[in-house]
Amino acid sequence: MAAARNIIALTLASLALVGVSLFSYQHLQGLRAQPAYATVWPAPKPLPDFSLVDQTGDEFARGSLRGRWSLLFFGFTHCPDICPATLQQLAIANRRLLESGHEVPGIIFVSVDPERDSVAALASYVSHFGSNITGVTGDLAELRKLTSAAGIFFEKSTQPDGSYSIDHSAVVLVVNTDGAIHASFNAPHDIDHFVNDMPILMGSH
Amino acid sequence: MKIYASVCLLATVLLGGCAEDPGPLVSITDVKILAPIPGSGAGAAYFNIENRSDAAITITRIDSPQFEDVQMHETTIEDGISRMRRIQSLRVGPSSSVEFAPGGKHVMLMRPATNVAPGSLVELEIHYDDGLLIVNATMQNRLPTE
Repeated sequence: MAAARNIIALTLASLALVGVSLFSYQHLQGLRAQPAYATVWPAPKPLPDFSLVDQTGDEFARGSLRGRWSLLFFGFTHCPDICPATLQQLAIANRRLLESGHEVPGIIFVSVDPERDSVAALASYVSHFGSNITGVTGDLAELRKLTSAAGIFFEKSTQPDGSYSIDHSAVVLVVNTDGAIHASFNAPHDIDHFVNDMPILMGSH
Repeated sequence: MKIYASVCLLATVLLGGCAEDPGPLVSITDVKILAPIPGSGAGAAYFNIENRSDAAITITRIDSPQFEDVQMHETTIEDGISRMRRIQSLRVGPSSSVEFAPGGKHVMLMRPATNVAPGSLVELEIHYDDGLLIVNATMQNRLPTE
């Protein structure tokens, strides 16, 4: 009789242990699934229709963002500092992701200076950072459709010598395979942030 | 001795003084010059300037024989917005230093005067008050192999 009680007690204890283990595992999985640096938007935001061109002269529209995760950064080629630094960080992050066997997001550089950034200038510029980077430019009104929906600010700032710079949002947007904004990385950027969070973000959708 | 005196005289003229220790009172270190990315037309230079004297100095101008247009700029990010503004002059306080670094103060190198490319030696002439500092560095490609 005592032996039977012991067996029952042992069985119950084992079941409890399994239950606790499963709960802990699922809890840890849940914790692991959270990006450490990116801000996940409350609901993915679909982008509106827009018509721009890429660095090859082909149309770049909402549909161009479907079917693959993308990182969108807005800047201009005459920016000597934060724009190339950010593209460099994204290119290095992608290389690290590739080396560790992860899916690699597309990198999209959208020019907010269509006045100076021609298709040819963009082609030279983005090719410097690797073959996996798409440069986008086009008509200002079409550009505004994209930036307004994405919450991207940009404004021309005329300098005392008559030249101009562009003030612009420094955020990197994460666009999911449906072409909707899923998350964002705020500046200052760090290669490790992208490497850490992108597999989590891409696995969560 | 004659050589030391010449160096000391040169330092006096260029750097504003020569104490017993012939080390300069104003010095430039960590010079990094990045080539313009094709399609952009603007390279960048970064360095650290240290003023070890007991008087403030003001950088008034930077020139380079390799670029026709050289300007000091500063990038700031506030509320997520990146802004770049030209710096007309820059004060370096006594016994202090100022860093030109990515994401902050930088020198824009525009309109190459010669056929400069990654690997070229680029000279920066940093004018301050009545002094002048000349530094050279090899221009690097923007994307490192890490």
